[in-house]
Amino acid sequence: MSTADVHTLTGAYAMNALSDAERAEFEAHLPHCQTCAEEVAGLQATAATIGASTAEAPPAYLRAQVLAGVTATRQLFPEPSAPVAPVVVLAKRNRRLVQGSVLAAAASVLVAVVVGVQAVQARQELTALRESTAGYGQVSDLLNAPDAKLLNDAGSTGGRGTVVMSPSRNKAVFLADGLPALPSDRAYQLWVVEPGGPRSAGLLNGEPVVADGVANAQALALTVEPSGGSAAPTTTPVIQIPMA
Amino acid sequence: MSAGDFRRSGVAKWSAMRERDQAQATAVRGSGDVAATADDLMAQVARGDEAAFGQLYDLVSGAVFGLVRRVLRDQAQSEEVFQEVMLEVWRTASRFDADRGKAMTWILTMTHRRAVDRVRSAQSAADRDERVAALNVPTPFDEVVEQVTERLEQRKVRRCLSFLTELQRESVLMAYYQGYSYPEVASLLDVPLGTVKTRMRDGLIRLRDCLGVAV
Repeated sequence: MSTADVHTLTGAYAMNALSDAERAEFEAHLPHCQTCAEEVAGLQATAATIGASTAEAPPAYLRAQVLAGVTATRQLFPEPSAPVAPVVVLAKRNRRLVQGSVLAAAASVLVAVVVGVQAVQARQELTALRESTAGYGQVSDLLNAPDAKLLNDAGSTGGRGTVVMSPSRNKAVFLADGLPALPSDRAYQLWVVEPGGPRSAGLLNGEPVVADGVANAQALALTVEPSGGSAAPTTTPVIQIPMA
Repeated sequence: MSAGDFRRSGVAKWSAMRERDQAQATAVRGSGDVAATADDLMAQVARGDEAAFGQLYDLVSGAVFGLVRRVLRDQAQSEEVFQEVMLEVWRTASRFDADRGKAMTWILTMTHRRAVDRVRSAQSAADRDERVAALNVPTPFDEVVEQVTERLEQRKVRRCLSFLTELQRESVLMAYYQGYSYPEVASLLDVPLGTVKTRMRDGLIRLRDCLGVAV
């Protein structure tokens, strides 16, 4: 098929009217043809507009079925082809991994899961990391829990906090990344916020912090405290991640 | 003020701030519910937010089901494919790239693909003859008109469809609403392959321009 022919397939492609073979051929061509890709995007949007014009409410009972299916369906990780910014983070964590820290290894997985996957040669790396941490203690256990949930939030002063929590394990792992450095007499302290008030989950020392008994937790919060930690938070949280 | 006092007042202040923050968050979320677009929700769904998926479901399920129904006709098969599509949206949400188009387009493209795959699968082979036979009776355009209620966007789609040449319109509607491949359309309409290919493209382009579709 000539190049000119391939170009005229945009319409048929946008309407899924190509055979599997032609479809594959066209999709192989797309990355090399910016104008085709733009035209396809416009024609797919057009087709979708026509498609949306026949709206019909599905039977009501399907909603509960779909949502139940969602609870039981694992989501795909993002494709590894996107921007490369978090590579540095991953590289840093990898150095720790070499130093043999199990927790740091789990942290690499965590970071990779959250951001790294959008970067890098991530897939193999992620697989390798996951394998290297498999079976190690509560962190990887939590990461492997079927109901593990990923939550994250940007810190108000920069950086980012990420939580993996598993209701069935009644545990959460908190990992901060890119937080501003503190003076030596200050430390970041993590709090489990419960209906009765905040409870300390410990100080951040560059490793993930594991919090137990999070079943009733409303949020995890991170505050800046005196370096030895406080019995109760004394400042406004720089990160708050709702869990309820 | 003792350290303890400071701490307690700090906590009290913090609790107050927290309540205020939460109230604000609720207010924002409350108003967001109304305005949340499929694009907003996709980002949350991609992070595993089941509640956001529930909202997304409410927003797009009508369009998804309507399109599946239109392509497949059969109620039971439509329900099955509809559920597959919705779960696929959940499962592959992280693959949605907001820079490359709107969430609704992404979802309906996936929906259409799934519906067409089902039409072409062996399971549907049996009723293929039936569909070919049905084609000779009402024209696809009449069917569209008949099923379309008087919503604004539908009127717009209908109006724009009317600006297409007959061959453009039939090519587009047979492919899109009935799931025919372009060689099938060519054979059913008895026109050369190349012509159908071109009509599908220039028909869609004319629709795009008429509808003012933004990517």
